[in-house]
Amino acid sequence: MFEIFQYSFMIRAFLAGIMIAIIAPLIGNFLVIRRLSLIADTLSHIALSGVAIGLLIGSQPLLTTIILTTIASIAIEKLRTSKNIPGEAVLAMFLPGGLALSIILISLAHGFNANLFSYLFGSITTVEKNELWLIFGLGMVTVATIIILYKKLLYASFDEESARVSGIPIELVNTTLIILTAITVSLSMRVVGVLLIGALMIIPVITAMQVGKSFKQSTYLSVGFALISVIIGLVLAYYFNLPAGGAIVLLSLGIFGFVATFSHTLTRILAIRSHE
Amino acid sequence: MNNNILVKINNVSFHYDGQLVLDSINLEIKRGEFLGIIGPNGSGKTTLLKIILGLLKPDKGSIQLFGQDIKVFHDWSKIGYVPQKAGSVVTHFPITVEEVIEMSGNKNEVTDALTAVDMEKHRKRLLNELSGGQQQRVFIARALALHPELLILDEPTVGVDVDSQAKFYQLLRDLNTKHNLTLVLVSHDIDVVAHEVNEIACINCKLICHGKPKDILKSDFMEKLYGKELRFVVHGH
Repeated sequence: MFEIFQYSFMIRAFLAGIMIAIIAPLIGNFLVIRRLSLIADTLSHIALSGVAIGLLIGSQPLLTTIILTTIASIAIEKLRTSKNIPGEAVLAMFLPGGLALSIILISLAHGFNANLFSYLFGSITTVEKNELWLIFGLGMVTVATIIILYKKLLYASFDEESARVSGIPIELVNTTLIILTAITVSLSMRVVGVLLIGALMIIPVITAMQVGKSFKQSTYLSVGFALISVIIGLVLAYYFNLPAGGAIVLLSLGIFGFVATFSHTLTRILAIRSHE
Repeated sequence: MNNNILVKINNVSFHYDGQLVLDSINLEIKRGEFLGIIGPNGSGKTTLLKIILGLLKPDKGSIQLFGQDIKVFHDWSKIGYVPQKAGSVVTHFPITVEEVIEMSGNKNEVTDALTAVDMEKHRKRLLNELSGGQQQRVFIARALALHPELLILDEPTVGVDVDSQAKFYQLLRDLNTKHNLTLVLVSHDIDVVAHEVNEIACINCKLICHGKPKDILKSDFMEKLYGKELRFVVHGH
C-alpha cells in the first residue's frame, strides 16, 4: 500500500495536490457568495491561452498562465464595475474569447500535442520541483492574504454597498480576490487540468454548504472535502491507472452526493459537536 | 464648527442618465433628530441617502459630514447604514447572526450590539432561519457594532409583518431617546413617519417641506408632494 510514497514524483503530486486542495475551496467560498462560480471556468479558458503562449515562446507555461489570467481577471473586474455590465454577462464574453484566443495560439504552435493535453486534463504526476516551489510559494501567499483580509472579503462579498459605506476599500478587495482566483486557477491546472478547475473550486464548497452551520465551519469543511477528494483521488489514480484529474473530480461529486443524501443526519452530528 | 449639525447638504443636484433626480437640495440633519424622509416612488429619497453615504457623487453642491467635507471625511464608523434590501436577504450559503455582526466590528462588540436589538439569544442561528423582522434587527445590530452617532435606514420595514414592524419602531424610538442616536429613515409609509419621527423632510426631486410632523402633514404640503389631495386620519395605536 505504501509503495506509492517511494516515488518522488508521487510525493510531489501529493504535495501539489494538498496545496491546491487547500486554496481552491478557500477562494471558492467567496466566489459562491458572490454568485461568481463560473469565473473559475472563464479564467480556465483564458489559462489555456496562457499555456499556448508558454509553449509557443518556449517559456514556463505556468508562469505565462499566471500572468495572462491575472491581466484578464483585472480586465473582467474593471468591465464589471465601470461599465455596469452584469457579472455573468462579462464572463459570457471572456469565456468564448479566451477559448477562441487559445485555438488561434495553439494552431500557431502547430496544433495539439502531449504537452497541451497534460494542461487540458491535468498531469499532477509530472509536476516538477520548480513548479512545486511555485505552487507552494503562491499558495502560501494566497492563504496568508485570505487570512489577513478575511473579514473584509466576507463583508464585501456578502453586502458590497454596506461594506463600502463602512470604509472598506471595495475596489482593492475585489481586485485582490479576483487576482487570487486567477493564481489559484493557474496553479490548479496541473492537478485537475484546465477543463476541470472550476469543479475543484466549487464542488467541495457546495458540499460543505449542505451541512455547515456557519460560514467558518463551511469553509473548513470545504477544505476537508477537497483534501479527501485529492488524496484518495491520487491513490485511486495510481493503483487503477486512472487520470488523476477525472478521479479527483468524480470523487468530489460522489462526496457531494453522499453528503446531500444524508445532510440531515450529518448536520445534527455537526451541531452536537459544535455545542460540546 | 457646529457639533450639533451632523450632516449638511448644500445645494445638491443629481442626474441619472440625463434626467434630473435631485434639484438644489438644502437640508441639515441635527444631532438627536429622528428624521423621516418621505416622497413618492422615484422622488430621489434613496439617491439622496446614497449621496450622504458617499456612494454617489452629486453633480452640483456639496455635503458636509460632522463638519468635514465628504471628500476628506474618513471616520465612516460614525455612520451606520441599514440598506433597503436588508429585510429580504437571500442567503444561499450558511452564515450565522454572530458572523454577520463580526463583519463590521470586532468580537467584543457582538454581544452589546445583539443585546441592543434583543437578538442575543439568536447569535448562533443561521441568518436564513430568521424572519424578515429578525433579519432586519441583525442588520441594525451590525450597524450599531461600530457605535455610530448617526444611523441611516433605507425603507427598513419592506417585507416585514405588521407586528414585527411595531417592535422594530419601538427599538428605533429607544435608540433615539435612550441612546441619543440620530436616526434618518427613508420610508414611503406616511403613517409610520407621522407617528414615529420628530422631523420630516419631503422630497420629490426638490425639498418640498421640512419641519415637525404636525406642521408638515397638512393637506397642501402633501398635495405638493404627491400631486393629489390626501386626508390624514390620526389614530392611536
